[in-house]
Amino acid sequence: MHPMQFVLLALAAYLLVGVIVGAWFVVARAGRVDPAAEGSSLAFRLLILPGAAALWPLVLRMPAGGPRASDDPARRRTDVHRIAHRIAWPLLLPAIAVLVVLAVAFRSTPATVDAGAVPQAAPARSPTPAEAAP
Amino acid sequence: MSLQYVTVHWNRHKRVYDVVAGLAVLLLIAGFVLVSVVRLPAGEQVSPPILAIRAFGIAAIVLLHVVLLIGPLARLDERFAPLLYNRRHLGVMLFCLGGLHGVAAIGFYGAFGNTDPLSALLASPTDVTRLSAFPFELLGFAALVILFVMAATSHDFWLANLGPRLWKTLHVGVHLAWALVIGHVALGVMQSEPSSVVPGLLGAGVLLVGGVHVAAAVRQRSRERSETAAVGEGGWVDVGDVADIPYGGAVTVRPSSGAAAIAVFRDGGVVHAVANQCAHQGGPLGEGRLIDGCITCPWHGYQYRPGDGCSPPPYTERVPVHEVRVIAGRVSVSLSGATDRDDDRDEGADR
Repeated sequence: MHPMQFVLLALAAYLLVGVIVGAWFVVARAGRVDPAAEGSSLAFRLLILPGAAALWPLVLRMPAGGPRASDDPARRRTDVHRIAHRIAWPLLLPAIAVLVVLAVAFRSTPATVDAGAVPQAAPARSPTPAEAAP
Repeated sequence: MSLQYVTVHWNRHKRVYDVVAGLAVLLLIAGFVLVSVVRLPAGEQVSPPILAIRAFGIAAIVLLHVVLLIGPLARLDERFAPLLYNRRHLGVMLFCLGGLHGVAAIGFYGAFGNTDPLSALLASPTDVTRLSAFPFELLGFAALVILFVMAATSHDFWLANLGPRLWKTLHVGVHLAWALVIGHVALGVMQSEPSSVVPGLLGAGVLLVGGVHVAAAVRQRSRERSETAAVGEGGWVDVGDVADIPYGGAVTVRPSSGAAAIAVFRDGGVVHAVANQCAHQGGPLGEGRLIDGCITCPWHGYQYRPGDGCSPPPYTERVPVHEVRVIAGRVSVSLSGATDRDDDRDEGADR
């Protein structure tokens, strides 16, 4: 089995568990975790289902009845993202630019792939003894 | 803002935003198909499925660049800030276009073998040591997984219950998705297309997005340096002259101790101070204005009363308020006086 097939199988298993946990979450749990979701429509629950399925390990740890994460000022702070942005982009830009330049420099040109060459007839070969047998 | 969640919180502005974005995408796809059919010589025409794969791919990559440009452009020039308002819908649209591209490619290239189409495409023999034989499909697949997680968690329910910090951590993944998509195109279609159109457009996109992000980062750094202030005795931070705070606007101060930034507003003759980060998505309240007597976040229009930091009823969001003192025209804010309880509020300091 190709290693990529293992990865896809693991991903499928993760999502299968996610759909089960997500279905339970949107039906029975979301309204207890966040009072603003209590009594919400079926369409809203279906809309949050993919998120619950994708993040099921986090969803299982969401406390019921407590304050929402966004009510905690410490969990609102996003300074770290601004700092990371400041550091990452001056590094990311040249890295990606170099990748594009290398990809252009080393791409297969029409001459090397010989895409425009006139197809040649296959060389004639002698029949094998089996083919020649009556 | 809070209350009971609705499926999609549309209003007139968001509808207009979505209609314009949808029409622009449709025009782009139609224009690409038209140019491909009309302009390409007969020998270079591609089949309809390949045309569809390319059209969805082109639309997705253009939209990805637009999404990535909005944030830094809004930081460089506040006239772009309204584009932030409904950016999440663009993200969902982007995932749908990327998904259509992926499904069409998997269906077309992987449907004729014995193994399932996804495995057939992603597990095909490749050579990671040669750029022209690199498994570029994996890069696109990884980008699509990131875009899926972002689209799936774009509802305000997730923002509120994961918290802005974790939610933002998931959503800055769009930068990684962009890098993966650039690799997907550079090592994929660019290797099979001898023309200079693809490298030219891709290079221009990289320089534009990267250049704007670097410029915004430099600008933000310089702005933060100018906003940093030392913490004095008793935890008071000197903000500056009251005359330097614009009427109906604010200045932002960043305590040198590393405490959270504070937005100091001037409402007529009264000065108020609140935490700079919006309770919704961490937007910079200090770059907002007082509208209808309320501090209004420049990102999504969330509002707070300047006196107690609470959203006007029936909404329930709130941001911490800081005690303010004005002595001989100099404004100071207290770090220790921060509170987000409306029964313990400070009504601001008179000039």
